[in-house]
Amino acid sequence: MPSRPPFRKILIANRGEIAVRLLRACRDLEIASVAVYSDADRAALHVQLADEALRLGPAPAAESYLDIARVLDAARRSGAQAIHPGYGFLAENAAFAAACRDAGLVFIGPSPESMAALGSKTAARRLAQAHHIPILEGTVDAVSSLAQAQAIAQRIGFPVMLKAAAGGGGKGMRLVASAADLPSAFALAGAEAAAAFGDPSVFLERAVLQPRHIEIQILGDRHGSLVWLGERECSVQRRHQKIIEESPAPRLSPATRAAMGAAACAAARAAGYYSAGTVEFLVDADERFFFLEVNTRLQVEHPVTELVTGLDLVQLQIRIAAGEPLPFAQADIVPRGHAIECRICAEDPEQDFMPSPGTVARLVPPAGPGLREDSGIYQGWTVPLEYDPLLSKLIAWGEDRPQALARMRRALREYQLGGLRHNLGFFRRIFADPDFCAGRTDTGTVARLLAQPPPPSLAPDPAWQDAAALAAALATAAALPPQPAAASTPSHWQRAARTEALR
Amino acid sequence: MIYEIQIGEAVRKLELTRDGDAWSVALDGQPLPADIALVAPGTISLLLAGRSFTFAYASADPSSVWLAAAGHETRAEVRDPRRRLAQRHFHLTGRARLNAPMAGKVVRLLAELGATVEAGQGLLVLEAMKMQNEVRSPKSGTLVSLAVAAGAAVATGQLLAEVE
Repeated sequence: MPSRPPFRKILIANRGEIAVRLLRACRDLEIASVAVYSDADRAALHVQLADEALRLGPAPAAESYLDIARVLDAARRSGAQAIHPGYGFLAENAAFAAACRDAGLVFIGPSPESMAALGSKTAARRLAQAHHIPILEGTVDAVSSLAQAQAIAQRIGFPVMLKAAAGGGGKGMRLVASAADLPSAFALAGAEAAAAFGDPSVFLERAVLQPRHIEIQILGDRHGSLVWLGERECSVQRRHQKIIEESPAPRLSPATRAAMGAAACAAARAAGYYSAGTVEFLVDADERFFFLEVNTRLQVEHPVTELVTGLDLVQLQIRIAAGEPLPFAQADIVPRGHAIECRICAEDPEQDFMPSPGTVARLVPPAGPGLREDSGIYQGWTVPLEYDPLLSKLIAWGEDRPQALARMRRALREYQLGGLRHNLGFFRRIFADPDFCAGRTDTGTVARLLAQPPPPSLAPDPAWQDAAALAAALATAAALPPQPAAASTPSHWQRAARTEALR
Repeated sequence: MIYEIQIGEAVRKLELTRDGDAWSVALDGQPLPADIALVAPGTISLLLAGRSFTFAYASADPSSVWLAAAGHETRAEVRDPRRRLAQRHFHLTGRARLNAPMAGKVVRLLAELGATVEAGQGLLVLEAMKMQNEVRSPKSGTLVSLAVAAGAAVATGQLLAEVE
């Protein structure tokens, strides 16, 4: 794609690793990038790496990253021609996409009309049903009362899943095992949905026990071309949120994969979809698949697809937004090898994955063949309390799944991240699990792993323990903490350490 | 220089002495041949019997250090007996809280509730890894609370007594 830049300047309406990812795409295309930030993010990496940066407002997202008027004002002041929303925040807000259009700005994403048609889970279910895409038995409209919910649940049979119509990220979601559990679950799911999305509507569907979560990446231009770019298996989840994604999905037949791709394209075409999007499915033990929802945005786990297809989805989104046609057809898409991603989060796996912000006191990222890291952190930075705990995404590629897993294992061994609680140790455990390594994963994988004690093979050996005791004494002698940002040279520091030790 | 290092349940005694250009190390009384290189701020390279360990470290909280090497991480509490000695001579005002420096068992009490105590006076004896340690008053004053009794098991950091 050697043509001239599709835009002169783009505003990135996001923060963290995805803002960094987006502005890197801008730089690759020789487009100026404008970062926006809240007061909590003045020192954030995306502000440092962007060409320009504008303050939005105070730390709370509602007064900064979610404030449409402030984001549009920043775009106007910077002279940006287009806005990329990333994921989260305003990315799936049809009103924001429409407000961009009204302000004469290009929204890098689908049209507000297709976002509205697919954005609500109930609307998407209706659309899927109308186009003969398999959906789980249940309601295609919001359930208005507990009595109605009981009647529907009795008809389709327990267990059932209650879900927020406007939902995402596991909020407003409840698995209901029996009729007795429905009243409290109905009230809780509705309250949670109202708090998270400002809309209490919930709907019901048959629950698939221990399902796999597999999604199809789609990409369309504004001239009617639409392709699917393979699938991603995202079954390893905690708190209904993904932590590992891979492509291709292990244990999925080519026929099912192709049928899912065709179904995803049918749903997208029905909504007049363009830009990047993701159609999510549940797959049961018999490899039957059921439409779940459409994410009308770039997905967190898009790098997995980029590594197996060789495409840059963000650059393609930008070109599509500028009106360029897709530069390839479905037959040109030949995925190669296997890619897998770990979402590194500031959270404590021992405390039910509670977010655990803090200062990145020591950071040694891994390197070497087959690795990519999309990170939003740096050594010395204090992770703000206000936002998502995702710090970085580590992605490994291999010619096949075993090689990709081996490279990820190597990367997890090299990765050193100190000063805050994180889930690297939990990933090391998952990547040593025989079921996971054999591709036998479902949405219950994390819970099953946590219910067992860590295998003894993962514990450090006595020599490591001896070395750790020595390192602890030396670290103390060297006067903690080291000054990560200091300009002092190692030799200076070593002299100081020796003096300390000999005092 | 002698350090007490607690990793998990284990308390190790590590002696570090300068020996010409190198350090000599003894762990729990046994020599530990180690080649030590402080390779960068926050990074220590150790060669132990030819095995290479590269530890990254950072201050985890005021009393412990985070360590990571070869895909394992841990938190270690390091006690420097000499530093504790020095701290005893600080003149402290107000109520001083005395916390357990290590996990162990209270062997006996050396002072009664309400007693007048001197700075540095032993208040109780704590036993861990078959070693008995006197826990001393950080200041002169009155022993206003005793949170433990003889025979009690205590965790690291647990409140033992207060002197006012």
